[in-house]
Amino acid sequence: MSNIAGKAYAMNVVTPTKPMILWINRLIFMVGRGTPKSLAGLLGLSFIHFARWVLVRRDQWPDLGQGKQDLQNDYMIFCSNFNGTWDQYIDAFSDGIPNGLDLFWYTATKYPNSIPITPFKDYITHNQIYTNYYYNATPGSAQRDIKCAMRVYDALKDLAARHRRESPEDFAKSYRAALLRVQGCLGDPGYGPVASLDTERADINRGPFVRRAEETLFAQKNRPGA
Amino acid sequence: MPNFDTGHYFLTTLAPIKHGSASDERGVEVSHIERLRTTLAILPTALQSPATEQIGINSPFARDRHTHLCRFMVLDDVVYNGRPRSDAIVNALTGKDPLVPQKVDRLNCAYLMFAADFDAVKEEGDPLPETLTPAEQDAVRDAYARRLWQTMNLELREIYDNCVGFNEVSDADGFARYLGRCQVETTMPFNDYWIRPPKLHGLPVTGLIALVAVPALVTLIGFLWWLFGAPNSRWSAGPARSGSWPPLSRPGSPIATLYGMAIGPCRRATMPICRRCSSRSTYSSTSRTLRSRARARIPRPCMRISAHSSRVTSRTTRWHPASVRA
Repeated sequence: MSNIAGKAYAMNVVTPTKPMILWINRLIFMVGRGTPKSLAGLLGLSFIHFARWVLVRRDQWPDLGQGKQDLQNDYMIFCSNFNGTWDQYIDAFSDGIPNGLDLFWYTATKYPNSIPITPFKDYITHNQIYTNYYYNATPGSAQRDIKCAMRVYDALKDLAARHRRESPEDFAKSYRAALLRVQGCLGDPGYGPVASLDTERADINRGPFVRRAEETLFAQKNRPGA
Repeated sequence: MPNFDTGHYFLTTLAPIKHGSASDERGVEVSHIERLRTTLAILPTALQSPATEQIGINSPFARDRHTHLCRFMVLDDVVYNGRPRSDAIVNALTGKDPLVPQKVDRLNCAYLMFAADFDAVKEEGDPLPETLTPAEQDAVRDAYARRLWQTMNLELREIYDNCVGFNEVSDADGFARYLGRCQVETTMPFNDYWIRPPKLHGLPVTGLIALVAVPALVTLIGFLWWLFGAPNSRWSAGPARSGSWPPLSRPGSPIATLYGMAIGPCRRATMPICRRCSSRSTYSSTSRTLRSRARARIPRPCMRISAHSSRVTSRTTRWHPASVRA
């Protein structure tokens, strides 16, 4: 179990909300989506890959035969994928977009607001649920590395098109110009700094169990009729 | 449907976990939650650290190239943040005893949350779409679920075997249907894979304020004009002679407004009925006449008419503006 995969951290926060006022939060999200300028602060942080807020009303918990839930509150599930440590993330949120954060948790029960930060951190700690399995397709790359890679990809596509139509001399100029433009994006992705010694030790200790499970699955796969 | 945003699909599913127990790989009887936790703990991650590279087995999710990030989380129960505080005055008035325990939310089963951020494409190599209809979004989700099943169905069986309703799943289409049944809508997605700053439009706050404020102001002015500005306004309060009431009570002042609105109807109801015209001789209906009488220094006939008892009324009901003028 780990909240960390490469350079990314997975955060899950579950917060209760009184059903009578949940519509206010839904309205805030609607305005946020309709006017993305209000999210400029989030974009400005530049270390979030993906994040989501999920409002689950009392009657929306999936019932596949186990029975309906009998709850007094609606709930909001927040999931984020970000680079850096938990403390850095919360500090950046609280310092960078405190009001935006307070708006998104406007109706959460006992939400203490993001400033002052100590009660806010206590609240997140209390409401956080640890991730049991986390997969990151680009573990060696932070969010800015991925955006850099996309810039390089765009430049390469453009160069490929120019290569077909330009003379060797012109293409050399285009190549040098493109290289100058994306030279800051040619960094080497690699292991993230060790943010958690627990995670590192867990990865080492899991080794034999992972191999044994894989062998069992491999045997199942190769069993006749499987 | 905000499950889709700028070419990416934000899938959120909550699968109920079975009660009871089952045998794990050692043959030991454990609860389904325990077995699920163990399965997830030994599921290979990406090759993301020296230790995982040493293990040398990549994540099964790496077999499909459309998943950016995904996670499994076992939600044993919802989070309780303590009792909501109550107001002491309200408790005193309603007799509510704060010592009586409040109900605490408990789920009737644990849930397995699967949240994935993946490219919203049906086939490998398709460009990322800018927009998708709800039906197309569902088709993208189902295509993703089928790809997962095709690439890692053994691992998915190990995981979801501990969940309610998974017994009916036998193929890729069945798994797509299962994920659809477990899905909860993502309310607010966010991603930041913009290589150039996107053009963000904001709320036209000034225009919206003007849109609301101008009609409100016109309505307010009209109301005040109707209330105090018109000579024969029915709510006009206070005496015609200036200086006889304190400044705050003069016509047009806030106190006069409140007085007019609250007392005016009662006052009107207690006015005597004129014998000639059978109408109530209100102050407002005679205000013009009274002002002209005040200018001519003629005593007013019924200044305190509303405060008079029936005895007074009998003495003053004989008066009528026409007769005064005559």
